[in-house]
Amino acid sequence: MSVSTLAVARPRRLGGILMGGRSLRIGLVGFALIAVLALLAPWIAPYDPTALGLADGLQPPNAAHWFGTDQLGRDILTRVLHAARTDLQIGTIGVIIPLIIGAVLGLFAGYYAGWPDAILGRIVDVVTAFPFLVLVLAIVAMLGPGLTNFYIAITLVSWVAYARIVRGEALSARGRGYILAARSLGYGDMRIMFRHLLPNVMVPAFVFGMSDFVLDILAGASLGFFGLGVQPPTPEWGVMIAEGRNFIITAPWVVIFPGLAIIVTSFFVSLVGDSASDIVRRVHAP
Amino acid sequence: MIRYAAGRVLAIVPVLFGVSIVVFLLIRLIPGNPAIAILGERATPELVERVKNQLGLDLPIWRQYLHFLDNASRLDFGPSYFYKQEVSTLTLERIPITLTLIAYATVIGLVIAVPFATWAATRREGLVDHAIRLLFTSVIGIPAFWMGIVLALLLSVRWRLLPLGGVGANLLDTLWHLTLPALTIGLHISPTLVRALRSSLIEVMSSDYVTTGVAMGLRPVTRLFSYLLRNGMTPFISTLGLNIGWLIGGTIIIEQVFGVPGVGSLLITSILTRDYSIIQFVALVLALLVILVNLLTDLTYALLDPRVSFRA
Repeated sequence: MSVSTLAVARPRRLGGILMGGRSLRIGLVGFALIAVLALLAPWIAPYDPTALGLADGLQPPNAAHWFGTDQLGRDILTRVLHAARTDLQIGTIGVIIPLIIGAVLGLFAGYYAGWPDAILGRIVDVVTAFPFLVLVLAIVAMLGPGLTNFYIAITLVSWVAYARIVRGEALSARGRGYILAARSLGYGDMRIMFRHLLPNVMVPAFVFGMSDFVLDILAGASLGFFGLGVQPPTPEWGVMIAEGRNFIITAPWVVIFPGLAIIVTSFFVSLVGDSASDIVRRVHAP
Repeated sequence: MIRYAAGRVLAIVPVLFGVSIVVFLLIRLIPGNPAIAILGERATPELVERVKNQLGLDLPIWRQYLHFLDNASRLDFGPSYFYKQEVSTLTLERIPITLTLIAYATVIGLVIAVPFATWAATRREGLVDHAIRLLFTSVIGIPAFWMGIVLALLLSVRWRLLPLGGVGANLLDTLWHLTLPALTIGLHISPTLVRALRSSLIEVMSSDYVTTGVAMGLRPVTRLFSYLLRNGMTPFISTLGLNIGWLIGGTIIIEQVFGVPGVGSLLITSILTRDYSIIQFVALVLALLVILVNLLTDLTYALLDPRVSFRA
């Protein structure tokens, strides 16, 4: 069968082949590549990310500076690579700490049900009544700008999402056979919760963590853009976009490349997250 | 239905109570003396004393909270030391433009999402479906502020299609000036809308009454509009309500980027000028907006789908 008949006769299959199984792998490989570039930035980046006046300012992309230079003559490729370290760190810390706190609290609420669950439910309702970005901004505003305070704000706001997910899973799992079996063997609550329940309720939380990773990077970049997150001269994608903003008409590359870096990173992570949630849905489906 | 509505309204009371506690605690997050932080280091002792009284800082924390509730019930959040105006007046007069922008952006978001979601759902698992999903997966990752800058560069500066910033003289003119910000926010929220509508359409498609309709020789147009979209939109309404937070987040960023004189740009500016009372009040107002929208979507949903109020 020639390629054209395949495409005409079975468009569904072709679409499935192109994306179905591969999107997870494409996402993982793409993200791994970005992570490696970020880790190796100090060794592979061609110039110093913060040194001023090394080259003429606002050069368009050329052989010496692939992404051009910014208004202070800094190499944009170098800064995009170094910024990847900061932004990936924002995504990682912004997921891991809330995930741990939310999972533990959600586990307790779901396992014991009753009043711990009722209290957690009310707190979740209250925190989710605030738009995510508004509460993060308000907390950072009170604590003061900077990366540490951003992490505190993210933790205070986004643990509830994980708590809600884990709580729901734990609540439906606590009546299952393996938990009853562990109880009848006389195991303590802690052992049942953390050894038996936890591994069985975490998958949806991890899947959510991937879209949360994207959300955190976008929030971090937004705060950086408004001068409330990472402080210059430390390279961060949002900060770079803010700094290049005034030159957008004459030197759009200063803004375009850090923006593309955010888009490409988010795209790969979303691809992994979407495929993972598809797989989970298929496994969970009756 | 009335019982359902009453129960739903009552359920808001504890949430409101919690929201007031969070908003109250916000100011207490300020390191050091909040009165000095609010006024700045060079404030006179008399002024510091006045702000301390306004916040009730000498009282035990629970009395401070009661004091806060008492003030809040009279919409008294103190004056803004930057704008030299009452915080509540300053904020409330900026609400209409923000609401207009949110509504406009939602309409644009729907105009983008409905055709794409329908197209994807009718070509489920096909090439078109995957292409649309990939397209919107990449849109999710576009930072709203970056999209705003790039769209402004292309649509306003290069091609001169849309006005950049400014407020119009009348409603129509205002809408015209809000088109670029609304388009940016609409694009920003479109991936969530496409995803939700696509899956809800797919669910409707596999239901028995659609199969029966097709077997009875339903015309494709009738099938699409009277069967699929009409029933698929109902669960989609609650998705729209659930994503109001995401929509407000995008609106705040975009208002600041385009200088729209709404609540969002007020929030960002106040953070930069450390106008804490405004931040507190804006957070409260936006939380109330989310609660209200969620209530309205639940009630609309119950009205459109009577099964909801029976189940509850």
